[in-house]
Amino acid sequence: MSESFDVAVIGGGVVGCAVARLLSLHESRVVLLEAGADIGAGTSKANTAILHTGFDATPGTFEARLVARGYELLSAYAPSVGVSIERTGAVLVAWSDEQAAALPALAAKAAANGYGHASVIDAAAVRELEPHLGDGVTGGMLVPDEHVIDPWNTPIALATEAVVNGCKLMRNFRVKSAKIGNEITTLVSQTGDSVTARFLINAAGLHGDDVHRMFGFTGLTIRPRRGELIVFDKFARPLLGRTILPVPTSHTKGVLVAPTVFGNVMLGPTADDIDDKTATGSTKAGIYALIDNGRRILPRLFDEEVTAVYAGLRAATEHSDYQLSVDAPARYIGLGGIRSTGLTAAMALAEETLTYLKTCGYAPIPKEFTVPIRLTAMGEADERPYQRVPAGEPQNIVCHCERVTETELLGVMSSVVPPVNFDGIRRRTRATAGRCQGFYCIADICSLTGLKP
Amino acid sequence: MTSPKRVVIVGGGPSGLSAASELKKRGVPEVIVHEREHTAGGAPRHTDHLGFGMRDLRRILTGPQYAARLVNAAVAQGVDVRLRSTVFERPDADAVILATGARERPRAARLVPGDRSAGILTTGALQQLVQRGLFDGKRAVIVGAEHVSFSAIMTLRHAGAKAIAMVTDQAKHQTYLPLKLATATLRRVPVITGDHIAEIHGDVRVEAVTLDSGRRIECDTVIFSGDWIPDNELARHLGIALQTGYPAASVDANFATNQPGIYAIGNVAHAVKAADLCALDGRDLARHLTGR
Repeated sequence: MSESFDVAVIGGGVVGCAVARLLSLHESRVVLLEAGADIGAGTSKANTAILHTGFDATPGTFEARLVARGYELLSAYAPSVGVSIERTGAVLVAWSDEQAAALPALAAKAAANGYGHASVIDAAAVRELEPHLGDGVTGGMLVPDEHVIDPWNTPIALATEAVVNGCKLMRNFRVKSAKIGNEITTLVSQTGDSVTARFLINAAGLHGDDVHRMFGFTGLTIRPRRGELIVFDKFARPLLGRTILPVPTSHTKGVLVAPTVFGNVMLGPTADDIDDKTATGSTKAGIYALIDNGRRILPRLFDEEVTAVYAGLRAATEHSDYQLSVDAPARYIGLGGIRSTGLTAAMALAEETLTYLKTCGYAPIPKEFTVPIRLTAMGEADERPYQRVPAGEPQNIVCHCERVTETELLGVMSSVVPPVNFDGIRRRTRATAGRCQGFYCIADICSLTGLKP
Repeated sequence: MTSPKRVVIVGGGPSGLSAASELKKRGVPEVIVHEREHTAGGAPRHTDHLGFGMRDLRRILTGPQYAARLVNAAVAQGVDVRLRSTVFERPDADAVILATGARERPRAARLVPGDRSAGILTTGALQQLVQRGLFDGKRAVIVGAEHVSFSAIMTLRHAGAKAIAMVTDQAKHQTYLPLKLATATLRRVPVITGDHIAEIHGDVRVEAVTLDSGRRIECDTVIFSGDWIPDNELARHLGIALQTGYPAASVDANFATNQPGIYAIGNVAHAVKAADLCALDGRDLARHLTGR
């Protein structure tokens, strides 16, 4: 006998977690199905972690509207649940006369998107703001509200809030088949488990097209776009004050250099259209391309050690906009083609989903009482647990590079959505994400958590 | 120079503990060692084979035996060893000694492309996992051919695993011939020189590595050994000048840094050296501070 729900959300990335959370705040029986071992471990974890204003979106698109609305929602939500935001702002830097000439049009586009704070500045002003930039700056545009956010705690906070408010989370549930009945749909997993639900939300990210086809729909093809990223030691952080953006092309936002909320500096992403949805390895060509870009943008970057190199896959489609679809008779909503801006747009996509459900004839009412949550903020600008230890007392730090205490590690192990592997520990606490990559602490963390390296 | 009344040492490895014991022996009233781990002794604690203590203690000990001796000696002398205690700012003392050691450069910092599979470790991590029975690899490729790389062969053997090959981009190994003979040669581990790891393969666990030469080696573990980086975070935070070309603290003949009252010894102050030589740094500094 399979458990039955009002709504099944397929995909525990940031979008699925946001949808599950919003539904859990309503009188609705919700299940969140994640194919992998952990939530937020696919496209969501390898995000550039920018809280986008949407200034450069194409006006009138779903993306433009939902990023702007998502920015508003996430900016208000994040501080209340322990998701760190660092209000750094960004500067878009032109490196040729042609790029400089494109800046006024970009400012006009920002205004058309309802973002009025972008301002074009000259090369001297750019250099004054960012003195470590390389030679050849021809101009710039300030985007003072383009910030950075903790991309790991965002889905974890959303999923945690969903679960404490009654959503059932099923990990390792890879939807293998779907049968749409007259009133209910049955989903069967790879391992033969099944659930039934009246309404289905496809937030399966990279695998969104597979799920889409499973329901008999066509018109969504996801071609992964691989983005490789290099993260630099915290010693590199003083080299920049804000995110350094390139002038975007139609294909990609280009290679940027951004501070991370964890106090590091990130360089990337590359943009390679590939066919393999599992090709999350980094490549020599990608690393070399980033080194070239990095040396040009911020020459002193490579004086510091690299602490991580990784690749993420964006769920790109043949269309530039998000691919949102509603099929009322099938009680199916597809949230497809959500690319890197999805982190910012997630909470707005959740609102949008609720509206679509209404058109399908389902309008759950908000719960009278909901349970709030709060995670430990991991941002360098926030107060970290080791800083709360009274002077003279041992801090019991286990991961020295990221200053993660024993209490924090034990805390996440007994949390609502606990980690199931080392990657999960890293995303929830930062442990082993630092410069030594586990040289000092890996065995201690294994002993403490019972997880394998 | 007048002998200091209170000395604070950051780091409880061979150099820090040796300095502490010697300072106490020479009458410094208050000597405090801050060790951020739960046990003092430093890196030798995890190096479970013979080869320690020759030049300072005139004995041949295993790493853990050597570490225990240094700790016991310090405690017996009345050194205040504080465990799980991390120093972030300049401690209040007549003299501050940085003895924060060095770490091996991990995979990411070497910009080695490929998958982020399980089973990619430094020797330091390997040794700790083996010591606790947490290492489950069977076939390892070792990157580097320094002393520590040959030490990794011994550690793997303890764990019932085999070193399949050593790969170094250098033209020749960089260890003493006897150590190479006792490890790589005896265990028939091929040392591949002048080559690089081009890519690591493995969705979950490491499955293979490809070398620049095109050769593919099936393995479940890759050990990135050596290529040491001084642990200079506190030194840099305190404004201590580094050497040119190598990020160790820059010190004079008496281990003094550019910051008055702050000294640096052991592997944070020079290219990596064996534990006993770091210990001798500690003794020398203690003698200098207390007037020879």
